[in-house]
Amino acid sequence: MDHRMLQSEKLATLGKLTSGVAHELNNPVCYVKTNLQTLQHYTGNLDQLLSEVLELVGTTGNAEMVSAIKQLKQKFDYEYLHDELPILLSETSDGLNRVEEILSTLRDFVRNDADDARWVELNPLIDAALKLVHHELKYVVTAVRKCYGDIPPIWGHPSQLSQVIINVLVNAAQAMPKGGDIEVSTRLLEAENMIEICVCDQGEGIADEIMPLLFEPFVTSKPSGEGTGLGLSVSHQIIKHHQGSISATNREGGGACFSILLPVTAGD
Amino acid sequence: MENPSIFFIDDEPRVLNAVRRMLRLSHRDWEMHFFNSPDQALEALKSISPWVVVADKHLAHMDGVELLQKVAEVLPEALRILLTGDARLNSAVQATAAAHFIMRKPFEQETIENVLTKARVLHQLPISLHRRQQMGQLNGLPVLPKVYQRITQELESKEPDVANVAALIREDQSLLSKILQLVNSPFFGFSSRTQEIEVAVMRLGLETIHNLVLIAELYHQGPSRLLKVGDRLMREALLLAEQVCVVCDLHRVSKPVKNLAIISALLHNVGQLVLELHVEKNLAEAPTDLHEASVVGAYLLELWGFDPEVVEAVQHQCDDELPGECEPVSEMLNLALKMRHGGFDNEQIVQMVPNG
Repeated sequence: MDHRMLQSEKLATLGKLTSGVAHELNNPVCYVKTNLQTLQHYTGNLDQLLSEVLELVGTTGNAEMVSAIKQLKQKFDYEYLHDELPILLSETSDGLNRVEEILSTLRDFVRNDADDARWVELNPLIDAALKLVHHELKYVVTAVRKCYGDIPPIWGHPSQLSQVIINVLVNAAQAMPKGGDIEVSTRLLEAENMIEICVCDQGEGIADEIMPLLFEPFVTSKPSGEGTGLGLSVSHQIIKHHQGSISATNREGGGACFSILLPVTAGD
Repeated sequence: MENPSIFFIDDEPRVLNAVRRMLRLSHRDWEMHFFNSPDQALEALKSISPWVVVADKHLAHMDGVELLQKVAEVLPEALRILLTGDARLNSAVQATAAAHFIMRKPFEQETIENVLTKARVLHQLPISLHRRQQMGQLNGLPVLPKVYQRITQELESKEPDVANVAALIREDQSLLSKILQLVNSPFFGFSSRTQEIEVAVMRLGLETIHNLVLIAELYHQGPSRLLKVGDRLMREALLLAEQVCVVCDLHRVSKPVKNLAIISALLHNVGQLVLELHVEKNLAEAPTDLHEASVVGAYLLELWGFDPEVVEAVQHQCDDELPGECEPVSEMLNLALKMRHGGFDNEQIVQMVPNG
């Protein structure tokens, strides 16, 4: 009992911590980014100045000077620096953009959904979720196969729905310690007027004794201390709140499939 | 002419230094003032009148929004920008109208440069200080409608999606029907009507739909007793848009020019709208000076980021003689307006633009 409470408290603290970290990183990222852009200007100008001076000496200087310049260029590895500097700065800038992107996704994710329900396009939402869990997936998942259907937007809370997708994706990745593919598909079930999102893995499947308890809180197949046992239960609540359903089955060839059904609701 | 100047307030000195370096590279003619604390900035406002004030949302002793509110009181004509890591703060600021724009932090160099360019254009418009101050203190209108801002955000994303824009419009049934009404108006000249917003977006393009959203929202704001004014001005705008089409067709201008001319016509009296609805409390007062209203309209459209052609056309709509080197859009709007008010017939209009 105490253990459970501790876990859900931990989860809440983690959310606060993440949001705090994202916020604190914003200022340094801001000035590093601006300074890096300015630095690119500065080095570009300095490099051009140097080339022109060198050229001037090359054409007007005497033989002694020309040879001295040649030695200096070798000493300071000029040709290499000249070629390398722009590449170095550009790669650094790519890295920083990546940091910025992650921060912005984190902020969007952590912000709890006080905002109103709105029309949500599920396919882009799944893409965004995949991006966010990229680091969780990349070491175990060999490929993510996407098969998106042409589906209408649904009325819902976007960040809650991404939370569900993320939980299911992370769950799929954790079910495959030896690696494998994940399949993500969406389709419209016209007869039922529902949208189905399927996430399938090639892992060990769900144990029979766990299956009936899968969406209960604090049920986990992972060793204590790893995983909160809340992910699927929270997902279940969110989907129920959206008048949908979530279920899991084991595939014949091995691995599990999670199916999320969400109603295509009318506009108002 | 007084020098362009900017105030930048952030409690992280390294951010200020970074901005100082960046602006020194590209905007050396600007006078720059940097402050760690809101109080210093407010104190400096007593002796300096910057064109632009940029403040971070999170300041040590005072919220950035609060600071900008004070700036709006002391120096309403300055362009106010709020810096924040949370770009979705839009709606909160909209309510207070403390800032003209929100700038996401970390920012792109280009974003700051665009703001400075805008400030310069606004400064050069021939409009009295009194009017500038009124515009800067308006609650509500000069800040753009929410849907419009959300569509702007979508258009600024890397790959704007027609479906997302359509979904945003569909959220508001009355907006949806107004947009479809505009799209199906004769002046856009499609042979078949459409009831699908996606089709409308494909036909006219995201930019034009974006503009139509603003138009539809603008004329239907405010308390109901004033809606009559909005309706009257909207009707005038629709009639002028039809006239502009006639003029454009007579002069065989290109499709993009025609679309811009229609947008200009639909927005030609936005200055009048703002002055009548939000500034002149007493509607019985003398009618608004049309020349002044035109410049006020141009001011607002520039502020909202409309195409320079549209801004120019609205600014010079009722000039007797257009300034040299005018864009064709300006000529079309100016002619159409003369036609509606001066009673020229089509033939005379054709003669008025020999190389049309």
